[in-house]
Order: sequence, then C-alpha cells, then structure tokens
Amino acid sequence: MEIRVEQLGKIYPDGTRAIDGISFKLSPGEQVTLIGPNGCGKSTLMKCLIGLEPPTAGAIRMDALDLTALRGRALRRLRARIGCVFQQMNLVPNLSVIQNVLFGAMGRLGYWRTLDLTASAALRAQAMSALERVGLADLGGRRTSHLSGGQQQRVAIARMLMQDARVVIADEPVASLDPRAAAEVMDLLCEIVEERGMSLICILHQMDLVARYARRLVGMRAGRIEFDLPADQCPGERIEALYRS
Amino acid sequence: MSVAERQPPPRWQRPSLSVWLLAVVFIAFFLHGLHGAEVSPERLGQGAVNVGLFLAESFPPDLSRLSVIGRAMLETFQMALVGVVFGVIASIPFALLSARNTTLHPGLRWLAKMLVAVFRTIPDLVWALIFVVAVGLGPLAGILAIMMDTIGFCGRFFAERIEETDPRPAQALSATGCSRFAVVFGAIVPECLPSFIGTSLYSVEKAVRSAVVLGLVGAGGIGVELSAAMNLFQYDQALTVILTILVVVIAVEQLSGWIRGRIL
Repeated sequence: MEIRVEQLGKIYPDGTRAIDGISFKLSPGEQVTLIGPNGCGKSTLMKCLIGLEPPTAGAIRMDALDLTALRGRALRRLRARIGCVFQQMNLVPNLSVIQNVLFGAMGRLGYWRTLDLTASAALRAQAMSALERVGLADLGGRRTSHLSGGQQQRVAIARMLMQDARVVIADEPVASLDPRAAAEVMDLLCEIVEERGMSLICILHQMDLVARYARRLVGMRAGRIEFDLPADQCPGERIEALYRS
Repeated sequence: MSVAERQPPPRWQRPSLSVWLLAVVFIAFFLHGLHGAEVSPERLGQGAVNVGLFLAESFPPDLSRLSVIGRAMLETFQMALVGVVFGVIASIPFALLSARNTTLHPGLRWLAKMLVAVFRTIPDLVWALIFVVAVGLGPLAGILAIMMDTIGFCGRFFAERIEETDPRPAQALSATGCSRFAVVFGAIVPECLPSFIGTSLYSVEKAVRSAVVLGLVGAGGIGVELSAAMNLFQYDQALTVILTILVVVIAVEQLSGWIRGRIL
C-alpha cells in the first residue's frame, strides 16, 4: 500500500496546533522512523494515520482511498489493513494470549468468528502459527496479564500478523521495555515487516535504537517536518537541533 | 517583633445564619420525633420484660414443622437466586447504556441512568406490594421485586466499573477496524467481568435478606411463616423460623465471600 500524506494539519478544539502542514510519501515496503521531542505532533500524526483523530486540514491517501473522507464500514475496512503496535497495555489483560491474537482478525471477520469459543479450527491454527512466529507458542493458554512486558509486546506483534496488515504503525513500541527485551522486540518487528513486504512507520525515542534500526529518518519539531533523509546521511547535529529548546 | 503583633486566628468562628437555621430545624425534628415515640422509663422497662417473656416462651424452638419451614426457606433462597439472575442479565444493557464510554447517545444515557435510579430508589417492599397486585400472591411477585432491586443496584455499579476500564485496549481494537459492538464485548466487558461477578454475588446476599421480608406482604418465601407464627403467638415456631433464616443468610454470605475471594 502506498501512503501519501498531503498538507496535513490538526488543530485541537482547545486551539493547540499539533501538526501544521505535513507532507510525505511512503512507497510499499518502505520503512520510516519518526523522531522528535515530546509534543512535536508525532503521536497526533499516528492517530490521524489510523483514523482515531480526524485531521482539520489536508488528506491522507492510502492507495486510491482518502482516509479522511471515509466513514463507518469503509473506514473500518481500511483500518483492518493497518497494523498497530503501541506502547504497552494495548492487549486485553484478562483474556488468554490466543484470544488476544485472534482479535487481530476481528476487523475482517467480526466478533463471533474471532471469539476463542466459537472461532474455526483453521483460524485458531493460524493464531498458533502467529504465536509460533513470535516464539510464544507454548503460552497460548496463559492469561495475558501474567506475561512480561517483552512477551506482551510480542503478543501484540502476533495479533498484527493475524490482522494481515499491509502497513504497520508502531508508536514507541519498546519504550517500556528493558534494553535487551527492546532489542529482541525491534529485531522481531523488523524481520516480520521485511519478510511480509509491509511498510513500517515507527516512532522511536532512544537514539541507540534509531542508529541501529532507522533507514529513512524523519525529524519533527513543533508540528512540522524538519528533515526527511536516509538515516546514514543524517548529521548528528540536525538530530540534536530537534531537541534544543 | 512583639508577640502580640500578629493575632492567631480565632478559635471558633460564628456560624452563619443558614447554619443556625439548619440546626434549629434539625433539633426541632429530633425533639418532636422523640416525643412522638413516647419514650418513658416504664415503657422501656416493660419492653425489656416482654422481650424476656418472648425468649422464655420461644425456647426451646418448636422443630415439629421444620420440614415446612425448610421448604419455605428453600423457596426464599430460590426466589433470590432467580430474581438476581434475571436482574443481572437485565442490568448489563442498562449499564452499557448509562456508562459514558459505551453509551449510544447522551440522551439514551440520561434515560438509562434515570430508570436505574428509579428502580433503586423505590424500596423492594414497595415493588413487592406493586407486583402482588400485578401478578398475585406468591413467589413470582417476589422474584420480580428482587429483579427490579437488582437492576437498580447492579445497573449502577456495573456502569461505574465500565467507566473505569483502561481505554487503551479498546482503542487498539478500534484501530484494527473492529465494530463498536466488537470493541465493547472484546475489550471492555472481559475487563469488567470479575467485578461484575463480585457485585452479582453481593446482590445474591442482599436478595436473600430482602426475600425474607418480602414474604410479609405475601410475595412468597419464609416471611409468611414468620408473620403467621408471630400473629398466633407461637413464639417457639417463630424462633425456629428466625434461626433458619440466620443459618441460611450466614451460609450464603460465607459462600459468596469465599467465591469473591477466589476470583478477585
């Protein structure tokens, strides 16, 4: 899926200008890393991209569809093709691991066909192979709240695999993990994205992770894009300048 | 700086006129109420003697009708159980509609909250009187009364629990393109389920206690036995009824407390 963001703007009802005329293009299978200080509009941009916040100006085109013009069922169908990995706590803690993974297909198949009790054997097998891919096949029956932070984030990746997404949006996917778990989760995420030819938009805060995983680097500040460069051509002082007050 | 230069704040502030007025009204009601009860040392003394007489006459409890009383107690317990089950089932839509994060429309939320408040404010005994008129004497009236009481109680507490759920798992599911129904039943209801069960168990305890009283107005259960025994001065039978109630209520409370301890 090709993503084109055109002159996107978002002003919140209280008058805060969160994003201010952002444009960029993402080809199918491309990976981009977003960086910038707190409050620079990264998270608002992410919410606009998955249709959780309506932008106040501009357009988001995914292939031929304009996300900002879609409502109801059509919007839900588009969202089903966008996989999200948030910071922690996006799983339903009281349910089993396999149930959380099955819910990845809920956008496509609806509630009853993804409820563990009533889902088809084929779908449950698919959920198990997604868990196998993230290395948690033996924990399928465990209660999700009993898992460690790194394991939970891998369950979220398995859920995204179930979703059969074309684009992955990751908002600080490893912010709450210790360095080792963070590296494991990032490695897994990048491998899977590559393996399936998905596009990836990833917000990162830790610079060591940026240095290791970023390919195309977009720097944001005060609601605008400051630079958009291949990561290996991006001078360190331009990154530092983003965080200077 | 001398010591007296800065005065400490006054120890006591003069109450405002409205406080005075409120106090006067309160004291007037209190004294009038006390006067209406006609409390006197003689009456209190006589009362103590009468309680002694009641206890003397009721002891030992008459166990001859234990099987009849036991059956009435079973009916009471079943009334409570059936009423709570239907009440809890009916509470869930009311709670979903009256919780801020799951309601369909603000107007509907207001209506659902109003209805639940009405169910709660009317005492169960009054509901029982209404349903005895509507469906006649017997356990059905009691079940319906308990059902209304349960909706009033569970509808409110379920809604409060729903409003406390973490919005993030629900948001994550909406982001994958799920419908509202799927988000509510996939992310929100599973989070609330342990608390729903705890509240429902407490409702059973509450319902068993109130089902005992509902019999007094003819809405089925053991209350009829108790009022009959008291009216016929068969205090030894009344004591059997009271002891049976005591045993069952304590047993239900213990059991439900144990289950709640396991799930919460």
